[in-house]
Amino acid sequence: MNDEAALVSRCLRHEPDAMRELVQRFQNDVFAVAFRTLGHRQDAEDVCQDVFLRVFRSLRRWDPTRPLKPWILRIAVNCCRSNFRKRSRRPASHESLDNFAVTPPKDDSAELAQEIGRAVDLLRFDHRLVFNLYHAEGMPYDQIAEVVGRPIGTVKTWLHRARLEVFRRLIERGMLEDGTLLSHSLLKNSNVSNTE
Amino acid sequence: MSRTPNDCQRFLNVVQRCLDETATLHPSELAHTEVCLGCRQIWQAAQLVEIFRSVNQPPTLPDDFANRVVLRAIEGTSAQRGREKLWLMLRLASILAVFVAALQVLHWSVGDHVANAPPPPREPILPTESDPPSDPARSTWTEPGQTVLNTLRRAVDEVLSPTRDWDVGAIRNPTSSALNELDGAALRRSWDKLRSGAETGLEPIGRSTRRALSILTREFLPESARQPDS
Repeated sequence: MNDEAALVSRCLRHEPDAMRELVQRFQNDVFAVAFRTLGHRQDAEDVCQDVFLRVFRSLRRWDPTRPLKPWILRIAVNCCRSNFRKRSRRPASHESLDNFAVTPPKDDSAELAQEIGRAVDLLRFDHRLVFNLYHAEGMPYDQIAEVVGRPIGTVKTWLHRARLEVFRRLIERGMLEDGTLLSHSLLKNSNVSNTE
Repeated sequence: MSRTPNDCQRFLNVVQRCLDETATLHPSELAHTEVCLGCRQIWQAAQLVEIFRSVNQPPTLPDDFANRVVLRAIEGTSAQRGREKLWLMLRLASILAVFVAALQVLHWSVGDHVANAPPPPREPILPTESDPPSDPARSTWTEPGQTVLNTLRRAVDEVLSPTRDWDVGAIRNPTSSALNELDGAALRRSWDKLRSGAETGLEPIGRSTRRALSILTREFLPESARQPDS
């Protein structure tokens, strides 16, 4: 029995230490996905808590032959999607992006972080999700496909479209060294709305 | 390096592959950005996307986060166990209730069988009106039965009230003159009352019987033998 299977079987016996260990092992990954996808600290924390409660309820359904992290992240993605649907009735807010802990500003990286964050935040949910999983979490395509429950081809398509949209928004916002604003014809087809 | 739409598309594909980490940008491909401002901007934007991770770090969770989650999970588990226990008890109670009801029905049927058996020759036990039923289950059925009986009795009294003044002898020995003396309208009224009174009095029995029959049909008859509810 591998380490994860042993931990899960202890969790299934409701051992608090094992449960705490499981949460601590994956909480940063889950919170990062939730925070980057939802862009709101409190929502992300609530979702993160819900994710682990669901994980504990569903641990019996986990396949011990597969790694635990993608399984937990898949639950996280589903929780984020539910939360996003609930929030989509409310007007969008970008003030939450100020919650980002920006690396110490050697230059104008704080502004840069905000601008990229804004551009990403305006993507539709699925595109934002794969963009964050790839560019922020550094996950490979096959793992992203497992987490979002879609084929790799779909994930690639979403990511490429998301990039084009981010490029277009960054160019429109004048975030490039070359001050000239020019929307390339190749980016004109990448206009997608921030809806599911 | 030329600047045709094909070159721009090719350059964009290379940029995507670079971000996918499946290719690196060759200096000759980069030369396209010297002649195409749009592609130069795309290349700069791509470089910004590449540093996205380093400039956007999410905040950290509170230190007691894991403890809070575990506490809630354990609370949820005990609540769930409580619900499961309650559910189990309810199921057991319903099974027990069905069992007791079955026993009671059995007891009644045996009791009826004994009551219908020929009485012993020496000590015949005849029920009198003043004797209250000893069986509590029987007393449960006596009350609605008495209600039905009272309703019928009231209806019959109402029907018979206009006929009290009639000449009984004329009815027993009918002659044309005697019958003519009877009030035809009152006769019709009495008949109508008798019919409606009987219907009213028997209605509870009829409805219950229909309902009981429909339940029996649903529960015990095979699918093919059932008739649609009317």
